[in-house]
Amino acid sequence: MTTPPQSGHEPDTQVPAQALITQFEAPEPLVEETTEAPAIKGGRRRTGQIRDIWKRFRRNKLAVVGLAVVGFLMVIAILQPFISPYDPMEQNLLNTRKPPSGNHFFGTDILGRDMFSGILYGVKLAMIVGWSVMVLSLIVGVALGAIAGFRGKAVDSIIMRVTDIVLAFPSLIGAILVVQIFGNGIWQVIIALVLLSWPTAARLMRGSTLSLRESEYVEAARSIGASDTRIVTRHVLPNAIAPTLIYSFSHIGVAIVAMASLAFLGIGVPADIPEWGTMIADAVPSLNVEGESHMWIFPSLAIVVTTLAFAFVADGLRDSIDPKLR
Amino acid sequence: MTEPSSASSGAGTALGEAPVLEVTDLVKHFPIRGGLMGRRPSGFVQAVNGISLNVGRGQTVALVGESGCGKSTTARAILRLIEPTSGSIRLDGVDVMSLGTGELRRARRDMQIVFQDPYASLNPRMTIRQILSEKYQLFGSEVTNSTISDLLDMVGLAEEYADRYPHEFSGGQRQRVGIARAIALNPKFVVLDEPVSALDVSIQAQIINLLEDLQDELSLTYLFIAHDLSVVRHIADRVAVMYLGSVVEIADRDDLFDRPHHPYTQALISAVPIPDPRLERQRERIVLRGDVPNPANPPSGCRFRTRCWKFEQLSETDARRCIEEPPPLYEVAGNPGHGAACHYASLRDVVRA
Amino acid sequence: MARNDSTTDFQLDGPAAPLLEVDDLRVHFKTDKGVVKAVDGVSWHVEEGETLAIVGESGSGKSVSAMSILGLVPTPPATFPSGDIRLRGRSILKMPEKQQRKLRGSEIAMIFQDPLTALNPVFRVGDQIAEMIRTHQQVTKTVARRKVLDLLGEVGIPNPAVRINQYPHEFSGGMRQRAMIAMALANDPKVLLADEPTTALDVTIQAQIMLLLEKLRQDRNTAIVLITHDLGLVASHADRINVMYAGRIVEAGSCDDVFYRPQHAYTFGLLSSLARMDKKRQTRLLPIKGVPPSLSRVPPGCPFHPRCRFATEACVEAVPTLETVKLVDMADGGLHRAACIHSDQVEMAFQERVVE
Ligand SMILES: Nc1ncnc2c1ncn2[C@@H]1O[C@H](COP(=O)(O)OP(=O)(O)OP(=O)(O)O)[C@@H](O)[C@H]1O
Ligand SMILES: Nc1ncnc2c1ncn2[C@@H]1O[C@H](COP(=O)(O)OP(=O)(O)OP(=O)(O)O)[C@@H](O)[C@H]1O
Ligand code: SF4
Ligand SMILES: [Mg+2]
Ligand SMILES: [Mg+2]
Repeated sequence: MTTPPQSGHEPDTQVPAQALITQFEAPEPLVEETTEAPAIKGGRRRTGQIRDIWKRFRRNKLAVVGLAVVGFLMVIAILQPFISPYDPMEQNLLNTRKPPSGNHFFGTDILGRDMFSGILYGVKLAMIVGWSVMVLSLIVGVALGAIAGFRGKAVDSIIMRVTDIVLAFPSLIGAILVVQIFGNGIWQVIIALVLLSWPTAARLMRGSTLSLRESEYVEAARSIGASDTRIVTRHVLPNAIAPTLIYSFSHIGVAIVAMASLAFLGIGVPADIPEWGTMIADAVPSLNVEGESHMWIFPSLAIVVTTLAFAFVADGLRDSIDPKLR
Repeated sequence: MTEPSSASSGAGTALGEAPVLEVTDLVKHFPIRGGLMGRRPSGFVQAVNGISLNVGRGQTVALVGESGCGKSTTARAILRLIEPTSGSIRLDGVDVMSLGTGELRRARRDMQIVFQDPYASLNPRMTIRQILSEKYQLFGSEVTNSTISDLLDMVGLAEEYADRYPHEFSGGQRQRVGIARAIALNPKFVVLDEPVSALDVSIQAQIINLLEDLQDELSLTYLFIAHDLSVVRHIADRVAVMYLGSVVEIADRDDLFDRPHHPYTQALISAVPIPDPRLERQRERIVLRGDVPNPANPPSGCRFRTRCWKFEQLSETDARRCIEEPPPLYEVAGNPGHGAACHYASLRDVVRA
Repeated sequence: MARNDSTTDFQLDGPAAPLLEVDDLRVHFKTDKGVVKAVDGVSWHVEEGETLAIVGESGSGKSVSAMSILGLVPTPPATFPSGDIRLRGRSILKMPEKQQRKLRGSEIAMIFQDPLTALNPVFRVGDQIAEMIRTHQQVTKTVARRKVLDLLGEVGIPNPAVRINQYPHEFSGGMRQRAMIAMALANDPKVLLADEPTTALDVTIQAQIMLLLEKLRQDRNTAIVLITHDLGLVASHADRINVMYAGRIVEAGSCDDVFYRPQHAYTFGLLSSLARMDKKRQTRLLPIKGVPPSLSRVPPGCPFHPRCRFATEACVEAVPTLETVKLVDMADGGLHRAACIHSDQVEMAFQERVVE
C-alpha cells in the first residue's frame, strides 16, 4: 500500500554530489529566447532593440531597396547646389524642349531650363516638404493625441471633434483652400499639408494611448507613486508612438504627391520654382509630341520612384518595429 | 450561528496588536454608461459591495473566488488605484481615503502590488535596472551601486540581468522583477494579485517559496488574491471567500478548508480536483448549476441563491428568507473568527469526502 | 477489449489495431532560429471509452501533437520527419486530403481552450453546428436543426430553442465551451481531443464541463484525449497518463502508477512542487529549478537533466529511451514506462517523501 504523494520539506542530503547540479533554487538561467517571444535574439544592451528591428527590416528586400533609394535622395538633396550642372532656374529660350543629350542629360523644358538640374532641385524640394510635414504632423498629432487619450473627458471630446471636422474635408480641396488663404509658397504648402495630416496621427496616438492607459505597467507605475506627467512621458509615449511614427513616415510619400498635385494645378509652390508637378503641367501640351516625351517622363518617374521608396520603407518599418502591430 | 457578528469579519489577528490594514464596508460600483454621449449612468456594476477585512502584521490574508467576483477591484480600491465609491481604509492607522493626491503618492511607498500578468506589468522599453530604479527616484531615495544588485539578489536573479529588457526573460523571471519592484523600500503591505496564475506549474512553486521567504525576511503583510485554492491553503493564514462582490465566508485557513460552512465555499472546495487519484475517486463533487449572475443586476436577498444547492433543498418558507433577506456574516462553529453569510450555514466536509 | 467497428468507415487492420494510434510522431518547425522540435518521437494510443491524459508544461508539444492528428498544423513551417497516425489501423497521414477532411469533425473531433477559435462570431451558434452536421451527413436542414436542439440540450445548455438562434458573444464562457462541445459531438466522433478544455474557466464551471465529458464518455463510449497541465484534473479523470517534456513522452502509465509510483524525475518534480488543498500547510514546496528548455535548443541527453536533482554524467550522454518499468506490486499491472536512467532513485526519493 502506498500513500498519496505529499509535498514537504526535502532534506538536502537527497541531492547527489554532482557538478551539473546547481544550488537548489539558484536563479533560473536566462532564457535566450522564451517560447513566447517572437524572433528576438541576442538583444544584450540598449542597442539590442534597434539591432532587432534592423534584423527584421533587412529581411524585407523591397524595404531595403527603398531605404537605399531614400538615402540616395537625401544625399542628392544635400549636395544639390554642388552637383547641379546648371542653375535650375536659368532660362534659355533659344534651346527649349530639347531631348536628352550630353549637355542636358534629361533635355530641356519649355523655357529652355536644364531638366536634370530641375529634377535635382525637385528632389531637394520633395525632401524638405516631405520630412517637414512628417515631423510637424507627428509633433502636433502625438501631443494632441496623447492628451486626448490620457486626459479623456471634455478635452478628448473637443480634440476628437476637431479631427472629425478636418477629416470630413476632402483633402485636396482643403489644401487648396488653405493655400488660397495663406498665399503661395513652400511653407504655406507645408502648413496646409500638416493641417490636413495631423488628425490621423492624433487619432492613432489617442488609440494607443487609450489602450496603454489601462495597461498593467502603467498601473504599476501609478502604484509606485509616479505622477501623470511622468507616466505619460516615460511609460505611455515611448510605447504608444510606434503606430503613429509609422503612419507619419508613410505619409511622407503622400505629402510629396500632394505637393506635386497642387503644383500641377498651379497652386502652392510658385510657378518659377522647378517642381515635379509644375514640370508635368508644363509638359501637358507636349504629351503627344514626338521627341518631347522626356518633359513628362522624367518628373513622373521622379515622383513614382520617390513615393514608392518611402512606401516600401514604411512597410518594412511597420513589420519590423513592432511585430505585434501586424 | 444565530448571532450576526460583523465583528467576526475582521477578527483573527494577533491579540493586542492593531491590524496593519483595516478595511470597512468597502464599496465600488462602476457606472454603466449607455448611449453615445451618455453622461448619466444607466446602471451600476456592483463589483464590490461592502467588504470588511483586517490584515494583521506579517499575516497573509487570501481573497478567493471566481472570475469577476471583484477580487482585483477590491485590491485596487484598497490601494486607491481606482477610487472606492465608499468605505474606510486604514493602513497602519492612516486613513487612506482622506489622503490628497500628493500625500497618496507618498503613501504608496507603504502599499504595493504585484500583478498577475508578468508580461504586461513591466514596461517593455525600460531595462530591469530602470524599472527598479524608478521607485527609488520617485521617493527621493538614493540608488547606490549595490541597491539594484541587492534587490535582484533578494528575488533570486543575478545582477548581470539588470541591464536587459523584459522581453529577454521568462515569465517566472519577470514575475521576480515585479516582486522586486514591489518589495523595494520595504512596504508595509503588499497586494499579490494572482502572482502565480500565469506561470507554469513547475515555476509556481519557485515563486511561492520566494514570496514566503521574503515575508519572513522583511516581515511583509500580504493580501493574496487567487482562484487556486490549493495555493491558498498553502500560503494563507486567513481566507476570505468572495461571491458577486461580497465576502460570503471568512475564517482562518484550516477552519475554512476543514470546516467550511457556506454552501458556496463548500461547492468551491469540492470542485477543486486534488492530485491524488484514490482520494478523487471517493470524493463527491457538488456541481453548481448555471453561471454567476450579472453583477449589474444581482439577485435579491442572498446573492448566491440562484446557484445554491442548499436553497434547492429548502422548504418554501425557509427559502423565502434567502430571497428576501440578505444574510449577514453569522458567527459559525462557535468561533468568533469564523463567519459565514448564509441563513442556513452548516458544516460539510468537502475536501476528503 | 470489445471493439465496435460496425459504424466505422474503415476496415480493421487486424484485431490488435487500437482505435487511435500515434506512432513515432515527429513534428518540426523550421524557423529562423533553427528547427523547433515541437514533437519528437511520440507514440501513444487510446481505446474506446478511455480517457488518456497528456500532461506537461507550456510549450512541451501537447497541442501540436493533437493538432497534427487533425491536420491542423500548417506545413510549412511544419514538417513531419517521421511518424504515422492510425485510426483503427488506417493511416491518416497517408490518406488523400479529401478523406482526411472527412475524418475531421466526424470520426475525430477536437475541443479547444478558447471556444472562439472554433465558433465564428458572425454566425448563429445553431447554424454553425447544423453546418457541421450537414458537411458530414446527408440530412435536410430541418433534421439538422432538430439534431442541434438535441445536442444543445445534451451538453446542458438551458433553453436550447432560444440559444440556438444566438451568437457566440451572447453566451457566457462556460456556455461557449458547451456549445463547442456540442459542435464537436455533432457527428458522433469516436475520439474527442480535448485541448485544455477548462483552463480558461472557473473551477465550478470546470466541474460542470468535466462532468459533461465524463457522461459523454460513458453514454457514447467516446475515447477522450485530455490535454492539460492540471494534475488534479488528471487525477480525477484519466485512466492513463502520458507526461510530456520538451516534445517527448518521458513517462507513461496508468493514473495510479504515475501518481503513486512516479519513475521519471520530472514527474517527481511536478508532484512535489504542487501545493495541495487536502494537506495542512507544508513547510515548503519543492520546486523544479530553472525553466523549460527552448524546443529549438533541447539539451543533449535527457532533456530534463539541467533541471534534474538526480542527474549524473550519464544523463548527458545519451537520450534515455522509454523503458518498461519492472516493479512488483504495480497498482494495476498496466504498462508503465519511463525515460529516466535513475528511476529507481526517483522511486526511492518519492516514497521517502510520502512517508515523511
Ligand atoms: N473599469 C471597470 N468598469 C466597469 N466594470 C468593471 C471594471 N473593472 C471591473 N469591472 C467589473 O467588476 C467586476 C469585478 O471585476 P474584478 O476584475 O474585480 O474581478 P476578479 O475577481 O478580479 O476576477 P478575475 O479572477 O477574472 O481577475 C466584474 O464584473 C468586472 O466586469
Ligand atoms: N507554427 C509554429 N511555428 C513555429 N513553432 C511552433 C508553431 N506552433 C507551435 N510551435 C512551437 O511548438 C512548441 C510546442 O507547442 P505546443 O502548442 O504544442 O505546446 P503545448 O504543450 O500545447 O503548450 P501550452 O500548454 O502552452 O498550450 C512550442 O515551443 C511552440 O513555440
Ligand atoms: S442564504 Fe440561502 S441561498 Fe444563500 S447560501 Fe444560504 S441557503 Fe443558499
Ligand atoms: Mg482579477
Ligand atoms: Mg497547448
